[in-house]
Amino acid sequence: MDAESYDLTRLFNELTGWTFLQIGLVVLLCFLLYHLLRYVVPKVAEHLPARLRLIALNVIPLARLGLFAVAVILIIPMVFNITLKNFVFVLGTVGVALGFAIKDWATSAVAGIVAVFERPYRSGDWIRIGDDYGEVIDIHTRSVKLRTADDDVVTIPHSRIWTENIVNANDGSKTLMCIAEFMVAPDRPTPGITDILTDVAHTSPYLDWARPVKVIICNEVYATRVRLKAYPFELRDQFNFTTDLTTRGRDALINADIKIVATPEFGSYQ
Amino acid sequence: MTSSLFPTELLPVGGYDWPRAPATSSLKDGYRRLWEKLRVLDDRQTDLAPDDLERMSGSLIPDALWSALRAHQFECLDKVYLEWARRKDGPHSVCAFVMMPSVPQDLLADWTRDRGLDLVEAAAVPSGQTALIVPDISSLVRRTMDGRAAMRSYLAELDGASRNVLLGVSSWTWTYLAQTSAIEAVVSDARCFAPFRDKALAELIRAHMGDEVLKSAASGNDILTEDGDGDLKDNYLKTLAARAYGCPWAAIRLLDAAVNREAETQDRDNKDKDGKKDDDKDDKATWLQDQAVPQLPEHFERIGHFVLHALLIHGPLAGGDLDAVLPLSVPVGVASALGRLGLIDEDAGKISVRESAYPHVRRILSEAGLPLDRL
Repeated sequence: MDAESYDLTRLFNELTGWTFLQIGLVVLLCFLLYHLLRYVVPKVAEHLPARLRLIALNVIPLARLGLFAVAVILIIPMVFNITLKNFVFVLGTVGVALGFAIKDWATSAVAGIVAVFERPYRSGDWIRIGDDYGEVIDIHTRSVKLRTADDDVVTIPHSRIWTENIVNANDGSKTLMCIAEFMVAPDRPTPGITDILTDVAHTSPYLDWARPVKVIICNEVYATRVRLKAYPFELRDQFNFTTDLTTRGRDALINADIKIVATPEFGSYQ
Repeated sequence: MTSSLFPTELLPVGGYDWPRAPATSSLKDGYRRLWEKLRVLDDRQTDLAPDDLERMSGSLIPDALWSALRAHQFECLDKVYLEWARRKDGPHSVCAFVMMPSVPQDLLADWTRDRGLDLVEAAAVPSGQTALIVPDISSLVRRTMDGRAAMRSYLAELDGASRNVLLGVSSWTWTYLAQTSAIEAVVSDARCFAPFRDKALAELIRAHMGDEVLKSAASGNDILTEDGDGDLKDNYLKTLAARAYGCPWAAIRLLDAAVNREAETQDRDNKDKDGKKDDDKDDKATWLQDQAVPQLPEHFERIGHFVLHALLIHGPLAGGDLDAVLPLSVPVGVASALGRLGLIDEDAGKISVRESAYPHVRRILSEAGLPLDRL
């Protein structure tokens, strides 16, 4: 098809003030509805039973996609005279425009649509992308927002899913593994260390009983690394849980006369 | 007291079939609960109940009903445990009887005394020939490092016991121990009461409160009326059984709490016009309007959940003991606030979950996502 000789008047419907008003109303309604959902759903989700909270939060990105599709389906027939010829022409033109003008935005937007269906992350998940680890608090068309443990909000474009590994700590479930690490002296016996640390986890009020508690021990150059792995029953308690395991675990090891070391042992040469 | 509709078996733990409310009741209840949490609905007014009803003081439940229920559950215990408990020769075994916290705390102890069996309330296995009954081991369980060591010693002692031992244990304590200790290896058989469903509850209420006309404020129907197939026409008791998790004590207490309005005469004029003259008893109806599940204030909601959870696992606790099993300090006033909400009781310096509030407490903890008991 020769685009230059194509009669553009056949491409468009008659555009009047009323058409623009209708388009404006559709956009406004979809925009308002989306923001209403973004405001209401998280508030309602906070009051739902814990098992339903993550499900409710994931309504938002799906609703955004649905509203976007509805808006496009309503607006296109108002503007364009839809025939096969016009469709192919518009597709080619839009493709070129997207390719040159808004390539990065389009890449992220497409990745965002893929993310909604492939679900490398969902609202409420705890994920790591690069050096950033936090809770997914919002999924926009172009980007995902994380709230880190330090209460920083990090905005990351969806396009990162093409090039980077996404680490999802809970993958939609309501719990995730927490790890408390201890470094103990490698040249001294550690009698009962597994039982001691297992008891520490089993006495934590944050523990999800139904999940296993594991103690993993491995030797490193300067110390023996002991990792206590357990699951809290609530995602948001992960830092409290790790703190609880670490403080009580450390005290229990000291009480059992198991030497905890630092690497290097600062102050040992004073 | 026996009835064909009452469950007579003790079920093995793991085989408890939790009663379910009809889907429409669950949806309505969930919807209402959500709006209450969002502070959109404040009360449970219904258009069906007459306007001039009054709050009732005292309990509607006759003592005979509680006695009959207790006698029936004693019979269930007899069937499974009495002969085993009186046996003097081996082989010896350790059994557990798991009860919801809404079952009266002294039930197993009373049964033991009534049947003349040996009873001990400490973590010890004194020598003897017939079975030893430990009515409640919850008080022996402490979710602390020392408590776990003590429990391990006790389980070792039970493992080598030279007589039969029956451990009474709360469903929460049992679930905690089963997930985190070797109790299931030591205990050869764990059982619990079978659930009371709508028909069993109807039978119990009819037998002892047959004079009352009990109507659901939600539907306006008599809750005990049956259809031609012998099924209850109204879903009230089915929903009640589900809300009480199948525990008859909890169900009857919930029903008693729902009677917050006194019966008034109604339709008298209509009946007089028809030329029928009934006595007052037939003209009166008692309306049942379920109480809302209490809501914990936001500023101590999280710690409140932990306190209630700890009380369910450990049974009654003194303030110091509560701090010991929670590695986070309990702010001053939390226990009093939970008491004002009607969720806990304080007695002799110890706080415990109020038996009548147990269904509410379990629901609150379930909604908050805390680990629950399993039967």
